[in-house]
Order: sequence, then C-alpha cells, then structure tokens
Amino acid sequence: MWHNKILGVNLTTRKIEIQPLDDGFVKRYLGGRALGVKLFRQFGMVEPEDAPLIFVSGPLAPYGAPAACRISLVSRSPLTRTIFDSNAGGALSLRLKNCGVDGIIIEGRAKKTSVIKVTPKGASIEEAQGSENATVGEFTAKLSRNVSSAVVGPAAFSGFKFANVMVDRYGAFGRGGLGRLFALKNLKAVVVEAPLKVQKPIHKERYEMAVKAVLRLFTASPAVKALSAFGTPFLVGITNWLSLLPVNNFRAGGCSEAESLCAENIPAISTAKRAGCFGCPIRCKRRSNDDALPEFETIALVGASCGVFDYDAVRLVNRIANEQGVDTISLGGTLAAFFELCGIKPDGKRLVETVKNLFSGLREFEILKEGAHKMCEIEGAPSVSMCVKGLELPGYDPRGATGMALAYATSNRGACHLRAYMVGPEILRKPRPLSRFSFDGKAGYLRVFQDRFSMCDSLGVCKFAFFAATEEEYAELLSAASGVGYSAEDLMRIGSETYDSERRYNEACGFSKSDDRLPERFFKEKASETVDALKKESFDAALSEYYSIRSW
Amino acid sequence: MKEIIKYGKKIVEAHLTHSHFGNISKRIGDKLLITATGSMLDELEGEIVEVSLDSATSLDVIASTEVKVHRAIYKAASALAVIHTHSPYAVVLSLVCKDYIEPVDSEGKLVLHRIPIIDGEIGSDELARNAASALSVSKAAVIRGHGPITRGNTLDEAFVYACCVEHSCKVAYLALLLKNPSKRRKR
Repeated sequence: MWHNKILGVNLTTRKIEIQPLDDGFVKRYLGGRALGVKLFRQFGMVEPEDAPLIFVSGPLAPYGAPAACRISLVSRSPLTRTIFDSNAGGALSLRLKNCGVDGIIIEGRAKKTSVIKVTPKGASIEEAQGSENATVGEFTAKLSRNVSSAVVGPAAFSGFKFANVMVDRYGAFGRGGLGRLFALKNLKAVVVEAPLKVQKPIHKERYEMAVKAVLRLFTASPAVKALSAFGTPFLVGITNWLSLLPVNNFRAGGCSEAESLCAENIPAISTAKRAGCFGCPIRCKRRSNDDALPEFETIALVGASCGVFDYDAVRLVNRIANEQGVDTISLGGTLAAFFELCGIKPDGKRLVETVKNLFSGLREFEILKEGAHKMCEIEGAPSVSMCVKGLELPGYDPRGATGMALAYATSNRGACHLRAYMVGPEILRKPRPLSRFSFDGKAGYLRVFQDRFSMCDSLGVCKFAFFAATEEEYAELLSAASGVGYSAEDLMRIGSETYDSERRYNEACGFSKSDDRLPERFFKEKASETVDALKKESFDAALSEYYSIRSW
Repeated sequence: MKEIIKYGKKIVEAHLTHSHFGNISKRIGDKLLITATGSMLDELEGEIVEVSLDSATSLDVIASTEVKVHRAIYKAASALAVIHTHSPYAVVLSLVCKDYIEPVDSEGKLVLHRIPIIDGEIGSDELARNAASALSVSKAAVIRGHGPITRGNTLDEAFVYACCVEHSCKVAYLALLLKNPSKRRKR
C-alpha cells in the first residue's frame, strides 16, 4: 500500500510539509531501499555532514505480511563516505504507514537538540535539550507503549562514527554510523505514534493463498527452523566448524575455544524469551531480563575476533553497546584491530574494561571512535584494519567463502554480508549449495544475489525470509495485497537498477574499481589448516568477470 | 570421510538414486558423519558434516534434512552406517503395497525376508520414529513414495542391502507385470 506522500521536515527552518509523490514513481520504486535511494539522489552530491536522512517503509508492512515489516534509512555514511542504506525491523515501518505517509525526509540542523514526533494528525519538532547523554534505554523508557522510535544514544553525540540509530530500543539501523548524522543534525529521536492497524489486502483470497505459500516454505526450511530455535547464534557453530569464524582479528578462522560460544552450549539462549518484528513468524530475537542477547555477528566480532571466548563478557559489551547506540560489528572490528595494534590478548574482564573506558570518554581511547580503518591509518598500520571501503568485516572469513569475498569487495556500502548474502548458498547451502572454495561462476551468482537482496530491502522483507521463499512468492504477495501486478522479474529489475544507481553515486563521490579490494591478509595468510589464503589471480579474474556482467 | 565419498559414487553408479537425492551417514563413537544438505552423492569431497549423535546441534542446519532420522536409527538399532536412496522400483512398490514388500527373488527372500514400508514426511519426527522402529528389527525399510533406508555395521553392508532392496523390488515388479496380463487373459 502506498500513500504517495512523504513527510518533509527541515530542522533548520522548522518547516514541516507533506510532499506529494507521483503514483507511478512510487509504484515503480516500491519503497524501502529503492525508493530511498531514488529520493536521496534527487539531492545531488552532498557531504555526509549535510546529507538528508530518508526513511522509507516497505510496501508490504501495512498488511502484516510474513517477515515484511522493515523500514530503510538512506543517507551518506560518515564512516564509509559512500551512499548508505540500512534497514530495521520492529514496528516502525507499519506505524509510519499508519500516519498516512510512505516515509520521512529530514534536512537541516536544529539549533537545539530535538525530537521529531509523527502522528496521523501531523508532525512536530520538539526540543529535547539535555537528552544527548540519555542512553537508548533511558530515553525509550519514557515513551508510551503505542509508539515506535528511532533513537540515538550518547555515542552519536560524542563522535562515534559507527553510531547506530536504535529502533524500538533493541533493533537498529546498523552499520555505517547513520546515528552520527542524527547527532550532527541535533536530532535525538524520531518518535512515531500510531496504532498497529493492519490493512485489508485488495485480493483477499489470493493474498491468503500467497501467505500460506510463504509460511509453508518457512516451515520446511532448516535455516528458518534453526533461527526459531536458537536465533542467529546458531551460526557460531557452523562458521567455527567451517573455519569461517574470525578469530584474533581474522588472523585465524575458527578455533576449539570458540565452541564455548556456540548456541547449544549457552544455557541463556535456550532459556531466553523469543521475540521478533511485527508480523514475523520466525521470531529470531532473544530477550532475557530486559536485555537483548547478542546476535551472531556480535558474538563473532566482539567475542572471537577479539580473542575472547567468554559469553558473559560478550553479553555485557552487547548491552553497553545497545545502550550507548553503536554498531557491534564495527565495535568488535575496531577493538580487535586495537588489541592487535597494542599486542594485547584480552580476556573477558579486559574486554569489558576497555569498552567501559572507551565510552567513558578517556582520551587515549578517542581514536577508536573513528572505526578500525581510520584508527589503523592514523597509527601507521593500515594492514591491521580488516575493512573494505572503511567498513569493518562481519563474521564470515572470506578465505573460506569466495562468493562472500567478492561480495565484500563489490558492496556499495563496504564490507557487508547483507548486500549479497552469499551466506545462503555458500554456508547454509540454500537455496542450493555452491562450492565455497571455487570462484567458478561466482561472478554471475553474485550479481543475482546483489539484485535479489536490493529488491528484498526495497520490499521491506527480512533477508531470513529468503532462506526459504523467493522473489516469486513475494511478487505474488505484493500483487495480491496491492492490486498492482508485479512479476519476479519486475522485482529483480528494481533491485538491479538500485544497485547500479548506488554504484554510480559512489563513483561520483570518487570511488572506483580500485576500492573494490580486500585486506591483504586474506591473500597472504591461511585461515586454518583446511582453509588457504585466497588466490589473487583467481579473485581478480572473478572480479573482471563480474564487472563485465554488470557492464561496469 | 573417504569411505562415504566412495559409496556415494557407487550408489549413483548403481542407479540407486540420482546424484542430488539420498544421503549417507556413518557413526564414529558419539559423532555422526553425514552428507550435507543439497550435496550430490557422486561429488562428496568437502560435503560431509560432523554432528552429535546425542542431540540436535546448530550443525544440523547444514547436514542432510534426514539427519534426525539417521540419529534415531543409530539410537534404536545396532548400526554403524545408514544409507538412504530414492531407488525407483522400491518407490513404486511402496506406493502399491500396504505394509511391506515381499521379495520373490531367492536372495531377497533370504537376506531381507520382508521389507517394511514406513510413513512420514521428509525429516519429520514421525519418520524418525517409524524408521527407528522398523530398522531395529529389519536391515532395510522403504519410506512410502520416497525410497529405501538401510543400515549396516559397515557402509559396505548398508550398500549391499540398498542394492538388494532395489534388485528385489525390480524383480517383484517385473514378475507382477508379467503375472497380471495373464490374469487378465484368464478373465
């Protein structure tokens, strides 16, 4: 469902207006990432510090479709300086649609720290001076229950370039430091107050059939079942066994100590309460005593990559990071590089101590706020930074998954596993297994997966849904719900156009093929006895093939 | 692992299954080596997963979807190897027979006696229960409309039973086919 309206908020002039959007334009770009990128590009070239923040809901959110309540935030990253989209779950997407708009564009800079409030009756800018140092938990605790919120913590205001925008307290617009842009605009939060009312689909019976088809696939998928049973930490055991789990800042892939971090060995995971985003039957989140348990990526980066195999320490750091509002992948990647630079082998206590020092504003830790790439550059040791385009690598060692290696290198937002999510075929063997050590045919697959997940982000659908379902099922779902006919090809075309558009923007920002590279460590050192270093010639050949397939 | 790779190739060469179907496992102490989900039985290099025999772990996600069934068989029967194929004659007979397939060839009669037919969806608890119960007394069973599952103390033994099931089913099917036209002529 589309309203063909976007809420414009200018924090400098305090002007708030509803901007009409052309019906054909909205239906062509669906919502989420595709529509957000299209709207962002209308602003031309802008520096991250001046860039607008563009929120766009997914078109399936109003129907409560399975795993389809995500919302995108598009801007330009202060960390990578690329165009940057991030998406989050919770209920924000639906509530925003129920305010009668498809998204929000925020421009300018408020004189004093402010909060934007949005309701079905209109929007307002309210002063929130003194809230800069309020943690995410403290701020959201004061909000009423029928609101969704996008909030930044103290880290955003104290200069962390990997500050998140936290959604409904525990979710996040992660990676890339879009939270820092909130602080640069003197914006503490966007609070959306609206009921969680679901719309009737245009073709009710057809829609119900389409929902059943998706749910049937969810039920049959081993990966979806594992997500329901353990949450994302089920990946720790698999990545460790395959020598893909980063250990000691990617100096090794997997190790026996990491078994203590495996989901099945952690009682807190099996006893925790399951939670999930609005309308999602998977419910992959875990909560315990008002605490969100760490996701796989946090365990991998804050734990194993820092050489810490103490789950309780990782859990505590995760809690601090969520309260402060920083990205745990970037935090872990930066800490791992910091420990390597200092020659420290931390235990759980040392890790927690370092994190507390970092957030207490100690001067000697100031440099970590820049992220691993900049920190290592300043320290004169760029080879220690495990980043691509300034973004820290997530929890899958590229030496043991060649498609992921190419995906990291060519991602439009730096080292991100979610752009092409080759985790599916190379690690979880879905939708069908691909040899993880060979580059053969990977360039073609990479393009398909980049386009697919760009489309997935534009529909506001969770990537986990694609462990089971495909664009075919979601095209039918969208067609039945909206009454507008979409084929799987239509959706993939939108995904592809968006990916190309992001690339063109980055090129205009000065990025080129020479930025599509991985840290040298992956070509020089093996990950384990069974996983060798990547072969440079094979990697370069696959990259050339990829450019030719993309016509870049 | 080498043995699993060898028998994976043999199973496909013997036309007991097409490359993409079926699964093989071997018990080693309290661990289970099992073919990965979506693997091709004639190309198993690097496609074998080690899981716990005791209970499900996160590695089950990348193991064969029938891992639960294999685990249940090892717990219930004296077995160190399990093979599951999609052999066509066995599948066909499982759809026309009720509770078991009666071999008519001399070897099948001797080695297999009766082959129980069991029910259950792929990778389900029901199938795991039924397979464990059938294989605790028989060397082989056929999952209705799906394919045979055999056990042995070695992979070689489980492979012999898998070959024997398909041979017996083929002979029984052909015999049935020749018998029925004569019955029709008599009528």
